[in-house]
Amino acid sequence: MQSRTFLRIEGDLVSLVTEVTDREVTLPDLLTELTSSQLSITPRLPTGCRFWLRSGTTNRCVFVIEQHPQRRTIEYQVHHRHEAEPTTYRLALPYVVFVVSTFADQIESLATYFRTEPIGSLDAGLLCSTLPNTSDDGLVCLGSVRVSGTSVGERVDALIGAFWGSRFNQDLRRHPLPFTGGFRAWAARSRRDPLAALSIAYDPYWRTLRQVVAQMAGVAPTDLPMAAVDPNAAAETEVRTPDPGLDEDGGDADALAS
Amino acid sequence: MTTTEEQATTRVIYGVNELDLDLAGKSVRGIWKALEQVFNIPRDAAVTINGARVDDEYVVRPGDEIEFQKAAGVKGIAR
Repeated sequence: MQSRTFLRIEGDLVSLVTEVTDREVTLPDLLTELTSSQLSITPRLPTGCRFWLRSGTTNRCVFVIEQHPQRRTIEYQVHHRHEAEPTTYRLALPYVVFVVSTFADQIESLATYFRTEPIGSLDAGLLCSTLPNTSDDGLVCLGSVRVSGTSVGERVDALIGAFWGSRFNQDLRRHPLPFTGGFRAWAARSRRDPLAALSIAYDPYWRTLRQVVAQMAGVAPTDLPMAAVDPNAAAETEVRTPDPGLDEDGGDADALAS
Repeated sequence: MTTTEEQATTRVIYGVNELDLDLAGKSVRGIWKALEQVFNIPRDAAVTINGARVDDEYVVRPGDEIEFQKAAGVKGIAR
C-alpha cells in the first residue's frame, strides 16, 4: 500500500491531502479485466441472424442474416408504369445473405448476396445476387418500401419480409439471371427442382463478408475481431455433453427440477 | 421390419417466418385464422399455393407450400 501527501489548491481553498493507493495495474490489464468480467447480451436478434456487430464510434449496428435455400414467390413488373400488370414467379433460391446496417436503431441500408453453402465464418466469400433492384455492390434500392417494429430486430425482420413482399422491376438489374430464358425459365426449373439454384456458377463478389460488414458499419475490416478459429485449419472437435444422470455433487439431476 | 410412411407436411411462409405443419385438408381461411396471431399475418395478405394465387376456400394438400405476402411497396427508383 502506497501513500502520498500533497497540497490541493481549489480557488482560495488549500487542502492538505493524504492519498492512499490500494492497488495499481496497467491500463491494458484493467481493460482486459473489464471486458472479460462484464456480462453482456445481444438485443432481440433478427430471425436467421449469423453475426451482429455494434460500433459505438459510428453508432451503427450491422446484422448478417442467412436464409436457407427455398422457393419464394416474387412479383416482377417489366415496365415501371403503374398500369402494367406484374407477373408472379416462384423461384428456387440458393442461400441468401442479407446484410443490414442501422444507424441509431433505424434501418440505413440493405445489401443482399447469394451463396451456395452456409456461412462458415466472417471471412466467407460472397456471390452476386441475380435478383434485380440490386447494385453492383449488392445494395438493394428499396424505393417505396417502409417498415416498422418495436425493436430493431423486429424492424430488420420486417425489412426482409418486405424485401420479398415488395415488387421487383427492371431498375438496377445488374447480374444475368441464372437460367437463359429469364424469370420464366428460372421458375420452370424451380418447379422441377427446388434446389436448382444451388448448382449455378454465380459471379463472385469482390469483397468478403468481413469487408462488407466493416464497410457498412463504417469501420476498417482490421477493426473487426479475427476469427477465433481458422476455417482452413480447423479440425472437427468432439464436444462431450454433460451426463444427465449425475450433477457435480453426485446427486440426482432430476432433484433440481423438483 | 416395419416402415413408417412419412406424411408430407405443408410449408407455411410469411416474411422471415417458416413452419412445416400438418395442414392438409384445411382451408386457406382456416390456416390464416390459426396462424394470424402466431405470424402476425394481416388479413389483406395475398396467398399463393405453390406459387399460384388461390382464394380463401382453397383446401391445402399434403406437400403444398403456402406463402402469405403483405404488399410492401415497389423497389427501385420511381420514374
